[in-house]
Amino acid sequence: MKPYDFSYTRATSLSHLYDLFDEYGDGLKILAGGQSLITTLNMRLSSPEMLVDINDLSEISSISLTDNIVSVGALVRHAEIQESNDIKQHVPLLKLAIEHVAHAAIRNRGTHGGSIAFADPAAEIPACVLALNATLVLASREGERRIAGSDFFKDLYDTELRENEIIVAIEYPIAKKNTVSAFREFTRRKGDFATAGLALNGELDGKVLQSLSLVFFGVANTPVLARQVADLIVGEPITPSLIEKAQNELANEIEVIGDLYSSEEMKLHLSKHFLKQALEELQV
Amino acid sequence: MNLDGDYLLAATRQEVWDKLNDTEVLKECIPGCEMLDEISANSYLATIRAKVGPVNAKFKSEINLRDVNEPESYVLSVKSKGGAAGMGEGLARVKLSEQENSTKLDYSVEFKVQGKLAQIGSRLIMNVIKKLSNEFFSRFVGYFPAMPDSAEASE
Repeated sequence: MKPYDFSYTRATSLSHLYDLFDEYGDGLKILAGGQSLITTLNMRLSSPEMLVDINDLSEISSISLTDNIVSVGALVRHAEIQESNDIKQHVPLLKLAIEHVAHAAIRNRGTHGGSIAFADPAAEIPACVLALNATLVLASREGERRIAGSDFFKDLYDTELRENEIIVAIEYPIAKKNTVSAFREFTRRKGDFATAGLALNGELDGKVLQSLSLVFFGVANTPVLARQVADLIVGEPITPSLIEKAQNELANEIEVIGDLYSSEEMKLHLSKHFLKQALEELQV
Repeated sequence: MNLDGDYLLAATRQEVWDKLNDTEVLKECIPGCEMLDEISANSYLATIRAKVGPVNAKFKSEINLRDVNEPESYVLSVKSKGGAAGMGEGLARVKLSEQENSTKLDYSVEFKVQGKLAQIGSRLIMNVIKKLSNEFFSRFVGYFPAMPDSAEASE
């Protein structure tokens, strides 16, 4: 199929983009990597009036390192994250996760900011944003505002991003010496959307986690931070009985939604399994 | 696929029934409803804009009420056509029962989708229906006073 007719413009600067926001309102769609957008256009599931290509905005296209954060520009491609030494060294969870994002061809075009703005509930990067408590930098004509990852995802494909705003950067806190990460997901075929997955980030001293974020994705309308399960584990030596307790608590805490292929029970089973695997990995 | 749940409303059964049969109320509560006209008794035509993530499509819908048992229950059937996007069919059974100082609304929804929507959307249909149902009921609940114990909705 071919898309409905639309107009196309290349934004030459952020302020040019803001002008276009004013002119087209919700008839405007931002084209970044286009890995989800172009498919839905071609399937005629949406028909924006104006597509604004932001690929010339070099000011939001790079990874930079300061004393305590790694700032990833919204236009950074998944493939660049995969190759980046700064990410490998300072945001290890993201390095683990990025290997699971779709296929090489998609990683070459798909962008970091695009994945977060789109907010697919089964996507890897939104889960990492939550697990790492990253800060999102949103910009509009009124200026920039920073929002915690944990406040950004509201509902299915629904985020705090306003119609006249764009994500310009994502700021990740730099990993400490005792930071540990784990990432798991199950897909029907490699590169597919995750049926269920887990992003784990924490600080481990000896056999005891001093802090822990557990984010399950592909199981509900947004990635889900399992706070109660994490509270149960923090400060306790990781033992088989603690893992079992945590698995039981997980079933209480998260409300899983099934789909046509995978029932609620299956998704919960996978989530519990990943929790066990990830915690056992930390013990080694 | 199926979805069910219930809500407790601080009103009499008749009051809840009247709101459930008020086209203005329904129009306000149905997410993305741009037009709702009664074409004959218990039969309506609606235009609904479904705007969920990548999908932003207009659906022409035929809504029929049947097995109407005032003020206790009805079955609402919806047939929607969204042009190239595909089509959907849904059936919602609604039942009202009297409780002490309140009315309990039980609902169960069955639905199926066809076309492109089903092709790329099957992974998330359940999530979408859940989101839209929550939106509908959170608006509908707003027409009644808050329940003393904070109008907790159980699903």
